[in-house]
Amino acid sequence: MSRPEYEDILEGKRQYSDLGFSMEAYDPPRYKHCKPRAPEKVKEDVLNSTRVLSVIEQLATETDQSEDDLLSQARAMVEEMGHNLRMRSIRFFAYFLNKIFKALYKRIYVNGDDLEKLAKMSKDQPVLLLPSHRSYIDFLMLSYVAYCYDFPLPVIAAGADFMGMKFVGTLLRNCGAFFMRRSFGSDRLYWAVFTEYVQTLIRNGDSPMEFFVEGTRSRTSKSLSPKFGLLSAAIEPFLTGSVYDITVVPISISYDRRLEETLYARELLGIPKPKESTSGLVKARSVLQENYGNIHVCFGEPLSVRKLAEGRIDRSIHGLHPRHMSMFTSEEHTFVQHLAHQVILAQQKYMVISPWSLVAAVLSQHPQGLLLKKLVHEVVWLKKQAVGLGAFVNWPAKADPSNIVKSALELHHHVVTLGANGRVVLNLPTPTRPKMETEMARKHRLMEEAEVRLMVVTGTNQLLHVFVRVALVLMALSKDGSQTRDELFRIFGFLRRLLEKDFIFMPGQDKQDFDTAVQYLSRAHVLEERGGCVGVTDSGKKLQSFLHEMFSPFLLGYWTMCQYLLTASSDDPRGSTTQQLTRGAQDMAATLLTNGLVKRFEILSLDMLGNSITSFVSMGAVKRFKSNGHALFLPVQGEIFSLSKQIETIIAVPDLKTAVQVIPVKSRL
Amino acid sequence: MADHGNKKDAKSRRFETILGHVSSNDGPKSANDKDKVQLKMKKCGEVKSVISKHRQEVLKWNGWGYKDSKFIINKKGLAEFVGERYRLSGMVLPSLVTWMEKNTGGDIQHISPAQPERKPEDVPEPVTNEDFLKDVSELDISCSQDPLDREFHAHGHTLHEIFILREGRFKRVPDIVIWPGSHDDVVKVVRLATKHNVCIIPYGGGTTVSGALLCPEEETRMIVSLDMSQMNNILWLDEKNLTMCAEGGIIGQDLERELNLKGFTTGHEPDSIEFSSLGGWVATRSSGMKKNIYGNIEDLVVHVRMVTPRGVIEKNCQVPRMSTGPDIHHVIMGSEGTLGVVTEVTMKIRPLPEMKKYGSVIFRNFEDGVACLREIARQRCAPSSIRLMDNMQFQFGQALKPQAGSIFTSFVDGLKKMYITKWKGFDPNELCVATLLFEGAKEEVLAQEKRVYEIASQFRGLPAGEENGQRGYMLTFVIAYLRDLGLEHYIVSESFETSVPWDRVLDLCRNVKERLTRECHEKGVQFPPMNTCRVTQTYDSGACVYFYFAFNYRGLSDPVHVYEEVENAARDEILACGGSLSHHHGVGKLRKKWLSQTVSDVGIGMMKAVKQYTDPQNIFGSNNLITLEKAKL
Repeated sequence: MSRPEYEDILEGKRQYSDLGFSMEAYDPPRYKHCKPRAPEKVKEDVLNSTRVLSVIEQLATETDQSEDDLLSQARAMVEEMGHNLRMRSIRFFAYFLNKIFKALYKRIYVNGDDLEKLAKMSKDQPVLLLPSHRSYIDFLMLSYVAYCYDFPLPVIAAGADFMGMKFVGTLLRNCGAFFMRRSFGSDRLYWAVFTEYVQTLIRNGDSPMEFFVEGTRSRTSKSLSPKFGLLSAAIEPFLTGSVYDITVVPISISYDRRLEETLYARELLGIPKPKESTSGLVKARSVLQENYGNIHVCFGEPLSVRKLAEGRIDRSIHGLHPRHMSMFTSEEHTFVQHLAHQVILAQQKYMVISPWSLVAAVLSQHPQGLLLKKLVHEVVWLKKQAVGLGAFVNWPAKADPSNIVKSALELHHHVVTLGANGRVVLNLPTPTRPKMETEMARKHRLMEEAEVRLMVVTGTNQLLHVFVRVALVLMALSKDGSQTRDELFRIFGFLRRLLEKDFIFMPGQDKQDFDTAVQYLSRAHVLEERGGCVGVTDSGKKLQSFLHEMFSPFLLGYWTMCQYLLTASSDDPRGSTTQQLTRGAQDMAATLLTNGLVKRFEILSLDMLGNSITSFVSMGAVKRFKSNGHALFLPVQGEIFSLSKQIETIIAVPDLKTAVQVIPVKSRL
Repeated sequence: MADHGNKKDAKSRRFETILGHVSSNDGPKSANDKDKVQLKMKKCGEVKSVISKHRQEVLKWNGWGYKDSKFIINKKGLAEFVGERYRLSGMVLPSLVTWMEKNTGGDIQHISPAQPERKPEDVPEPVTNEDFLKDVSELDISCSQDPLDREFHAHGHTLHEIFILREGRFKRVPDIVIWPGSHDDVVKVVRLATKHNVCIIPYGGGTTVSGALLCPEEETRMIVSLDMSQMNNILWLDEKNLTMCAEGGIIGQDLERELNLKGFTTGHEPDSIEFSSLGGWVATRSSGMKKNIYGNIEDLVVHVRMVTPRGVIEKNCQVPRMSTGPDIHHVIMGSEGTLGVVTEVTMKIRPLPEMKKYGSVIFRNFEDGVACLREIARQRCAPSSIRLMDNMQFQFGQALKPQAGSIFTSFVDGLKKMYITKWKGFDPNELCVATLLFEGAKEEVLAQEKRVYEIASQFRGLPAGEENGQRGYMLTFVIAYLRDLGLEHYIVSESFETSVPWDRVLDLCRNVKERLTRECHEKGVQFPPMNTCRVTQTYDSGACVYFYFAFNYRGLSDPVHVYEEVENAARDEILACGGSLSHHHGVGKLRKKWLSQTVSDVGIGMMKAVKQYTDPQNIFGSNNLITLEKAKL
């Protein structure tokens, strides 16, 4: 697929009645081997499946539950799970969404030609639609687009937390949502029912199946590390030869501005999220008065699971066990992991970068704001860099750059203001008098400021995947700017491993990533060879320092976690939960910020601090163990210390001696 | 040694109508040292075969079957099956041409003729081992170095081989054909071959579809084609134990005809029974369509004699079962001519059944049909044969309907068709047919028939008459002739088979067809291929599936290569779907590359070890199944 061609699907509908739209003829293609069945029949088939029945039989012998009890449990599970996709609801929902989308968005762009091609393919094999997930809107967007293009409506895997919402839960179910519990760990019956539910839908190809490989909405606007469970279950029918092939479609949904921006910023800071409820949604109606710009929905190049598996997987192994028993070989596990990463990388590739993202990236490097003229200049420069790296930036070629920037600022008027003096500043809370301030108040003020700053950060985040590989190479260069290629690769490898949870890298491809990045940088005259060493050119200095600034908050956050682990929690040999650790480190970060020792508010993000723990675990610097079913963590002091030292060779950190005085010895939690 | 084939015999009809002549010789042929133990057994005689010693006198040299039987396009542009041997012989098939054109995208006007009759000079000069020839000439055993004899023995019936006959030439053919007359002759020939380091490829009926008869091109030694056709006597028949012993070269139809005359049958009916030999069945682990009653070859064989370079291998008793270590029969069966040659076989026989009745059932779709066959297998009440043809094969059967003849009036004709499609709601593009053959005592047959139709009705199947069943089985033999017609019109076709667990039958059929279609498309075949399958054999735990596959190759420069790539892909697909490498065709050279993944490296090692001991010089050097690394000299 070359450059996607977009068309605005709202355009024609503005003059057209919502009712008319909802009554349009809708006759989508169908998978050629599909035997049509009603949603109730699907549930029946699940309960009669060998997979479910055999698990019931096993459990009945292993526990003291009767088969009847287990069967009714299974029935309850499948009822809780099952979708109820119906034409009537689709029409109602088309009416409803059409109204809402026209009100909220200026344009919804879709690469319709590619979707039409996909519709043809959907006759030949079952389809998995795997969109990125950064907003609630994603959830309904594909169904809406499918309706517009006469594409079969997907069934959608949704988290069970939606189910509680009275009216919405039912509506979603009627629109094809099926629900999976967030965690069902060792509940074999649930696992069997769920797996069978997913697989029967895929085997029969009743509808395309939509789910989010990232597992949940990304609050940060960065892609999340993929989850493998559902994808494995969805791919298995191919591995066992139950279907000829499965088409996997990575889909990128890009927003100029998300509905939930404020909510997310609070969540990242740990201000609790209200439980999903219908009344909550109604309260959110004020949200609907705003303008949210454009959405781009890009259907990426469809992937054939069969082609990807060719030569990598010997499916005949599954001839040796009954097909209702899931068995994955290690090659297949790796295969699914790679596929999941490939999907996310493809989503990133076709993300449309909004101008706001560029503006935010520049703004976050000017905490005090800057003149519009300077901002525009910087944004134009950054855009050029991003485009050079293959990013699709929504930047009308003929438009005046300062107008583009101004409308981006306008769209985010809740975050930034263009002052009469031509200065662009963040809408920070007005400072109270420092003298009177208690510590609590000081922290409160800090968090208020952080909320605004994090909204800028999430804007920047949409851009990071474009730069991350070249940024890591440039950061790996020592300050004086020269390194042997091997040494450079070693440090690059370290950074890549360290930040594995915050960014998406194809497992095992560090060398390719490195080579591609170095090659790009050399071609762009940012890097040059100097007597066996690699160094930054004079003209490359600007990019180096910009990217260094862009990515160093992550290292600073990880470093903060190191310091926290070295001091506060080291005296608790029983281990701590992730929450205790991230909260503790966040407190330390807050102290560092209030004392002016560091400037970047990103380090307050619980998401980033949590990622650092995961990363430390995989690097062996933190030990993870289970106690009473809870995961607990224990730092390995020596390893943490050495990690901290390595980070210090790459970014500037506050002087520890000063820092130690201001850091409380024990976590306040 | 006299040629046995004569025209009158050759015309005798097969199976259903037994017209064979009675052998006149009352005295048993001396079977050497066995005479004494045969005192209480029925005496048998020499068998006159339908097939002549020089096979090309009766059989096509470059196609399937009898010279006088083939499909032609008559002056009216309609297909006609000429000859007198089959029920369909002499009949015009008005819809066949249209059907072929529609389903392969071909045009009957486009002709791709075969090269004319082979000239002797087109056959490679023989490699000659003078010492061997000299010693053989002293034995008084019939042999020939005639080029046409040699070429006839150079091949089996894969598409690849037939294509070479039609359009090219073999690079390597046997250098001599030897027709041993007895077990002892074979022992002598093998001994001489071992002494002079000459390669032997045993030849039975020549119907192999695995490339097993192809001479390895790299073989530099003299190659003997050991044609077993003259060893075709039934040595004895033992009514007390219900066994009979025959020489390995006897052709299926001859064996069956002779036994029938005495009121017996082996019940072994592979589709190739007209031409394939008893020894060949043993060497390839063959399967017969009536195995539900009589069993496959491994169930039927009681005793085997095989001559190997190391000596003769056989058991010392003829018992129903024994526990004496790994069964050596299972080393012999499926050895595909790599260890030795089967000279004599003792096989179970049964009295001819009192009643034989055909039947058929139509189903709404293939899924229902498979479910029904599975249930019949589960209840272990399968008739002697039960086959389920998919919709395409059903339609194909319709296209092979002759102009007239009451036996051929089909149930979909007229009112019946109305009833099935309009009243019962069967979709003509979905429905499929199972053909049935019941055998046994009258009451048994009727009871079984009732039970089978009852089960069928649970799967919405409707009985569709005896005629359809009978037609189905008759067509099996005729379809083999169709490939030659196709080849005349740019259509290549082939069949292949597998066995698969019940729960994967549908997926395997669907995936393999899909793969065939997509591979053809990717390889530049300009029209969608014709592919169709049938479940042709049922077992407790699975089924045998048989595929027919054809495509129009106009516009392709190397159709056989494309065909082979597509077939390889289909085989990969079969294995990926949990199917086997082969149910009954064997491995030969065609499927060798998958054997180690099929039986594991240790399995291959065992086969090699057996070969290494039995035939260290690789005298039986067809290189089927495995390739033995050349021993260090």
